[in-house]
Amino acid sequence: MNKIYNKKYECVVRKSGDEYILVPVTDDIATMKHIYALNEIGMFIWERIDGKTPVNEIAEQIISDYETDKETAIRDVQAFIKKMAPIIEEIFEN
Amino acid sequence: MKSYKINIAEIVYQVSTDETGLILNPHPGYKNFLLIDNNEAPDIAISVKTGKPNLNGYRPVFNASLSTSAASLWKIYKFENHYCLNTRFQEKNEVYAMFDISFSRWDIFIASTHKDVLIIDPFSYPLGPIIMLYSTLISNGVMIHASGIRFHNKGLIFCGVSGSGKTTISEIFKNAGAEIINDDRLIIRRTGESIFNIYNTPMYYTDKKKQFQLNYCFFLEKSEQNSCIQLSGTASVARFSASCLQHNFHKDLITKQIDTVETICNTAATCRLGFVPDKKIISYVEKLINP
Repeated sequence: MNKIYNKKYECVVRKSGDEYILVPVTDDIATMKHIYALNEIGMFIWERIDGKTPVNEIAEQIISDYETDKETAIRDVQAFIKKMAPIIEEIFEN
Repeated sequence: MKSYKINIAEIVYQVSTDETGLILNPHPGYKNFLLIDNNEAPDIAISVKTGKPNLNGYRPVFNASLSTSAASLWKIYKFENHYCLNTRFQEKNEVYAMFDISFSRWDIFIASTHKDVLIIDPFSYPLGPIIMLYSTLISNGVMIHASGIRFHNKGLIFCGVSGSGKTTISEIFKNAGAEIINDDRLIIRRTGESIFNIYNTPMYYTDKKKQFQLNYCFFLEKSEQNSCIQLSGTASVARFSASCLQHNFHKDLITKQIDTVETICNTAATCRLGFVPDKKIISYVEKLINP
């Protein structure tokens, strides 16, 4: 849970009602098919996938901002990382 | 032929050349899309010539490729507000298509050492479908990998990844009396305040021009029993968008596509359709579209 991820692609984000559409700007034809619908928590996590913030810190911010329990926050972040795997990458510190 | 017009999804393209050594020869798949004795102004003007344009100052901005291959399918270069798409016709002639972000005019240069007459189809793959894609996007439409049918006076499309059963389900419905608009590639384009039509596009085979109003969009999933889950909001927009052709080198094109897809999903019913590939899916869908 102390892993760090970064976005692989610039994305176009569109708010629609209470949710968001996220489309990667890429010339890889396979990746173009990865278009995501995110809820508010998903967007909260996406904004913190910045190549600097460890996953456990993102979970702590969710606990703080959304008054959720630790188990739910960790589960949300892990599910998000799995779902977004095609357009994010783990950063390994030297 | 020195000039011709075609109508694809109610977008009129005029293709012409002034060069005596060039003959334009559209593929037979375009035959029923040709406009004969038509004087209306085209939406898209395409001029064809031989030679190579001056690309000084152009830099690459998009390289369409597959993850599985290093080979480039086509590239787009940019200089100020001008773009150049570079590809090949049938892996032979190098082609440079010059355009701007309005996509209303294309100047196609064919680099050829041909000394005699050169017979060419400017709409050959991949350039033709790319011109169609961008022209459709800026005209309140999208191109989509889907199968479209007219059934009980309703327009239905079936979307899904390759192998999800688009052709299979179309055949099942065809046997039950449905008209197949196309089982692979469609244009969905707005024609009225809240009306989107399904259009077929020219293919490698000859087919008549078809269109019908879009009422239902089904996202196919293999299943052990027929099932339907209605989608709404961003879930339907994301699913629909993923089936669209989207070689979007410019953020404005992505935004335009999301706008159009959002409107389509607010206009037509969208559902995940788990289906077993036999004729029971007919009565199952009939109950959905004629409750």
